[in-house]
Amino acid sequence: MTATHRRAWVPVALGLALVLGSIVVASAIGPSSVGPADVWMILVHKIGLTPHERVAPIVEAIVWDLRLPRTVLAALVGGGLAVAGAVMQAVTRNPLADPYLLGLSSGAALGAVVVLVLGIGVGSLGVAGGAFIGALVAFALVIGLAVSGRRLDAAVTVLAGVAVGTICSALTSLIVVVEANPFKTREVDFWLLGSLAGTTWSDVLIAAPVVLACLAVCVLCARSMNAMAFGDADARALGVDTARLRWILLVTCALMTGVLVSLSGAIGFVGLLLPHAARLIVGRDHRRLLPISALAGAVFLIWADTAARTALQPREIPVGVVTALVGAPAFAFLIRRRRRAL
Amino acid sequence: MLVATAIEWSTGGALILDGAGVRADPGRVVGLIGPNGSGKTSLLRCAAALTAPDEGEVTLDGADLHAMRRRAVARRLAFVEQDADTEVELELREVVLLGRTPHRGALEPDTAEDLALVADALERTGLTGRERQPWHTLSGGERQRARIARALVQRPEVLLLDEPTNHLDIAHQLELLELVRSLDLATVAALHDLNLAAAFCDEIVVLAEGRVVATGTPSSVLTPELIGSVYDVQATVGEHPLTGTPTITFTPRARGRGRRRGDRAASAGGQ
Repeated sequence: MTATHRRAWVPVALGLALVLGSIVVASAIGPSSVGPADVWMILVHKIGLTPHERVAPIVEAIVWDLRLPRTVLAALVGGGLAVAGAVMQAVTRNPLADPYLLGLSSGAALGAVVVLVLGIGVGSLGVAGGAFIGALVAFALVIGLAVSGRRLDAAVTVLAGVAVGTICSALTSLIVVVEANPFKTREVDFWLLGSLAGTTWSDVLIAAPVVLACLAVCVLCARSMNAMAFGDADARALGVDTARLRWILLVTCALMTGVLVSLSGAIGFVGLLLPHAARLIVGRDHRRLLPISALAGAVFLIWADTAARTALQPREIPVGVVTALVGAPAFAFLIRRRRRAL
Repeated sequence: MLVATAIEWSTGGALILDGAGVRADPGRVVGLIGPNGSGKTSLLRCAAALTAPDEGEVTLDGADLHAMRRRAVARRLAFVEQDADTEVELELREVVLLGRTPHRGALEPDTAEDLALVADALERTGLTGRERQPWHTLSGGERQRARIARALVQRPEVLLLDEPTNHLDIAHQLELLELVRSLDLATVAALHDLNLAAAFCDEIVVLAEGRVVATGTPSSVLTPELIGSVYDVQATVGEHPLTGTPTITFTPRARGRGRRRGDRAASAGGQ
């Protein structure tokens, strides 16, 4: 038994190493050539482990002020969205659940834009708060539309999510266009397709505690999430307070999605696909699935964003376009697979 | 000792339980019988504190079960739902291991004890060697035995079973009820098969239209009169040549005679 436990840590340790390696290597890639070794030195120096600078100040500025915060935020957004997807798939017992498909991301974007235009709240926290409420309201609407009796049909839920998401996206576009002040609300593309351009360390400081805290909450609920496989009544017979669990997890997902969308816009498909990929690696036990989903999502979005900012240099592709190009075919594959299973 | 008393419960405007009750004592197997829609499942669900009754109370060793935390209930009481199913692609051993949920903290790993309990439960239910088989590839009977195995892993004092012999062939029906008997738990099992109820239960509780209409040993309860009035069938009760328990056989009866409830009692009484 201890042997299997030790083996259970191997994918997590490997994943962490892969995330760290990806951050360093991806931050070296870009128009000005910087070696990964330089990135590593800057990182180590900034953390306070080495006293002396050994790279040019301009290189340090590019890496530390521009690339590293962006790569680290990509990791946090990717990890957070993947966990939100895995949790929503378990709670709604729907393999197609994901913050983007079920309209939470679009709701969050709308909430953020409304706060920006009305100018309520304090700075980024106000925007994040508005996005959180937007995500929560959107999800409540989706469930309200999809639920019949006490059952939640998988396909109807996705349709309701698309309906709510489309309305939210349309309202977001409308508000941004009417306001006509891209400095105040950011561009429509940012909200609808997502972008990590212009990320600063202060964005990372907002995202990191939220994502880590929400991840911790989800991991604490992992055993109970396993027990929900056979439905609510059965989970209750196994001692799980399902009503409370559902509230905790859905609010956690909405919080995570809201804060991340307020920083990076609505990026699709990460929450849908990475949990499925993680299941192929570590199986369906949420105690292992959630950490691995987080790590896989982080690595995936780091490289998706690297492709987004470098593929058509000097132009940037919105990162959501990259995730959709990879994600939509995989989504189609999932639908085919599910049809066979039914 | 689990005691459910004077349970009333209605749903969708229909009164399902109308003062029914049941009592489970350690080491005894109680058979809950009655026609479809008589409230067997509802009574079990109320007794498991999964459904809150409108009236009446359920106590476990004197404590109000509905006031206890779910986790505390699940450590002492296992409920085997009829046809509980999943679309999650789980392996058999993962399903059975879920029975340890109420006993382990959020971050506690599965212990050697947990795995030993799973192995033991799989052996007792005849599922050894299928640990890694995916749930959706198991037959109906295997799934039913897996549900029982999961309940065993829960290590309950009280075991509530809703139609545990559903989907099982006769050999597995007998095997499963023998297993249930050997567990020495306070057991209540809703059963359709009157002969199985007669052979394996210490006590029979008969439900009809949400009320308990008879309680007692199989031979005192399972009379042609009672079976006739509750199920509206003509039954002959004999004695098992080897075990001495009641055996029930049925005779087809012409339709349209004694169909209404009022007539039923009269015709049963007149036979």
